[in-house]
Amino acid sequence: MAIEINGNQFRGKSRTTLSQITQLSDKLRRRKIVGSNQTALETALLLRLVVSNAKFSSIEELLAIVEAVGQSLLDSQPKELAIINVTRKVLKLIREEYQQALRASNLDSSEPALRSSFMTPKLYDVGLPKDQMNDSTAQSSSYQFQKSNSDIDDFNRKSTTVMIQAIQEVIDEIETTYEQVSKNASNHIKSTDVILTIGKSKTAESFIKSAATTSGGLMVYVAENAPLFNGKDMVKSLEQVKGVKVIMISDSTIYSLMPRITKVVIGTHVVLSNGGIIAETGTYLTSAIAGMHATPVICVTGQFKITSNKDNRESGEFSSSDYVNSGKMIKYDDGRVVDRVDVGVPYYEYVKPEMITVFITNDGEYPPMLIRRLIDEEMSD
Amino acid sequence: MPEDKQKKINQKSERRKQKVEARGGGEKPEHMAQPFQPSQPSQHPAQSSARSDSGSVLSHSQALQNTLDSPLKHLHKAPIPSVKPEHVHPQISRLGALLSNFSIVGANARTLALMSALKLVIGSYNTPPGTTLSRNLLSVISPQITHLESCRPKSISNGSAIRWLKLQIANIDPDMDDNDARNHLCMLIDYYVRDRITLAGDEIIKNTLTKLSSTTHSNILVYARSSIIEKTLIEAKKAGKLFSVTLLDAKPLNEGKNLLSTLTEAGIDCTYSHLTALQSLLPNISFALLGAHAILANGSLYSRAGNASVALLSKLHNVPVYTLAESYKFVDRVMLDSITTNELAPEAFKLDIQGLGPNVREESLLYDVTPAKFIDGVISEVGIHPPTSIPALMFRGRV
Repeated sequence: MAIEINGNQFRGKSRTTLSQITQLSDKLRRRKIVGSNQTALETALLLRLVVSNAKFSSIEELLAIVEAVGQSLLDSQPKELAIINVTRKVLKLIREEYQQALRASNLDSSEPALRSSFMTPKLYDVGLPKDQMNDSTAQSSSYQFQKSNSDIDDFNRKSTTVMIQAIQEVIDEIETTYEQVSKNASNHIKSTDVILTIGKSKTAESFIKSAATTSGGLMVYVAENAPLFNGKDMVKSLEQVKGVKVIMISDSTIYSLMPRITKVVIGTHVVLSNGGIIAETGTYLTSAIAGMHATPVICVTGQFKITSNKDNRESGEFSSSDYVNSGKMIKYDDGRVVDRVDVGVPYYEYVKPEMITVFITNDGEYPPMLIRRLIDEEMSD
Repeated sequence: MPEDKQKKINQKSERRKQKVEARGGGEKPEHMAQPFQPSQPSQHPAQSSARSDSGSVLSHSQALQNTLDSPLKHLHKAPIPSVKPEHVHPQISRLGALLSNFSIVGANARTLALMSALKLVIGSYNTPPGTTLSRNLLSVISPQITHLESCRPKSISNGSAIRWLKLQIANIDPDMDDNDARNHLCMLIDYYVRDRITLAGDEIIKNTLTKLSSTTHSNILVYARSSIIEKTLIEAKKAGKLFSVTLLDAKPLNEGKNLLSTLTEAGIDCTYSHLTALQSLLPNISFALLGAHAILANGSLYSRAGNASVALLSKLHNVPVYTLAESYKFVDRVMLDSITTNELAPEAFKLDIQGLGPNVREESLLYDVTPAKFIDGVISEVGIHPPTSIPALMFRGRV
């Protein structure tokens, strides 16, 4: 059901809700919010607000509103698939909570009107497109309105509360992702290991930190990941952990040093349903070299990054429209060259499932071929 | 009369010995040089033998503390006690300065510069009374090489050029007039440069152009900068070949930028990108051309750091990889990894670790070894061969 988001969908503070939605999509569009963790968190927080303020007469309407909000966020930043993952998770929880609440109230069987709320009584017609509001529905809904207004409203308010609680769980899950992922780091990494990572990923960072703290010492090579150069931030954060020896290397040195590396730890942007990942440019290079040297590649990720989205599977499609600022490669100081050259460094790239040994998530460890089943279990509608 | 004969026999055997050692290369001639050059610093031979024995050298005490656990520990070299300045030819000390600040980079450029400098050294040489040129000249050249080595570790191609020159010097007839010998040696050096570098380059360009079409567009992947690739691409443009270039670059040296400006000046369509972005670009690439620092006896390519990554990813995407190398870059050794023999990036090209703590190190290597299995063809002046045929070519060349 396609729905246009407007003030009619929200009770009371509809203006603030709307402006929150616009603000978040603007931030996403302008890359004020980057990284799937932050995006997921912001999305979940927004959806909580949306659900608590939504004006809906039926569960379908609520679901449609949530979906429309998710879609509008995704439209403003199609590369942040965490948006759609969180939205799907929230939709699933809403459905579950609703059915549970319904079952509970049906057991009482004191309120038969509740069953009709499942059958879409139109409490608030205003949000619907004009053509749907023909006379008969208007009549029937106004009839129902008089009949069971207070009951249904009461039920919706009650179920909204449990739904918000459920969304809160999603938020908590996202917020504790780092701790949950790093919890078992010491099972995989000992002090004799030599770790290589590229660029900066907060999940990888906390994973390595946790491994270093539990094992009491670790040697970590960080590739600087030009032209983003975010390896430097990673080094900055890792050097503060006691016992960690951090060495920054250039990207061209990864190959030479790989024989000395025992494990490669990478973060990711999105995990696809086939077990492949879409990660920052440079990840493929590292994983391919690791694969050639038979070094295990550990991909650390929160489960909110796992997407069942079937689009964007092909690397080219995903990386084709998002480029790193070319000023990092060539500056106007370089002279006339600037006018004559095409500079292209995509932000993200696709890494094949064969190149990853294991995904360590906030809820268990999965080899790439089990991702499909995980999605079926956790996220299917 | 019999004494004279004995003397000649002795000289001959001495010469043969020198020949053998010159072929063996390395540090040994420096030991040889010792008796002829009593003024040389006495600790020098000991130093050089320590280096060749253990493969690791004394580090600065500070660097040592920081790099104790580093696999690249042996590359953090203490400065080799340099030769007394009066033994260094002015042209050599000039060359040393250019090498150490990376004004002269690239195997070909370094060999050309070295050869022309050595020509001047030989030109200003006079045999002292009581010795012969074939024995004494080596003792003059050795400190020059040592000095250059203290500026920057010598390249593999320089090593083979020096070895070749030592052999030529040892081959000089002791009865030859000084002037004739000097002229002869300078001529030989000119021939070497002409045959092994200049003409070889022309031939390589010709061979490479056969891989390019004038009717079908191809997109060539190039990494960093190689003088022969630069010439080839410019010649290809002149020859009306239809192509564009995807140029990749990476730290520490970022040499690609220089190539980029030359190519764009020549009117070649260029896409400039970073090594890390290679995977996204590969679907549009027709083939890759790599420069070479040396081709090893097992067909592996020793070249600028990053070439191995380019070759690996190209192979994964079924993009053919050719490497362009003059045959004087074929060397008689095998490297098992990229760590044991390598060079660290110089101070001027260090990664940006400003604002990070004192415990943070940075390490960038200048070279890496690409296994032969990632290379489809070596284009040299003798033709296009699979890398595994290189040892056979080397044997044929030796005969």
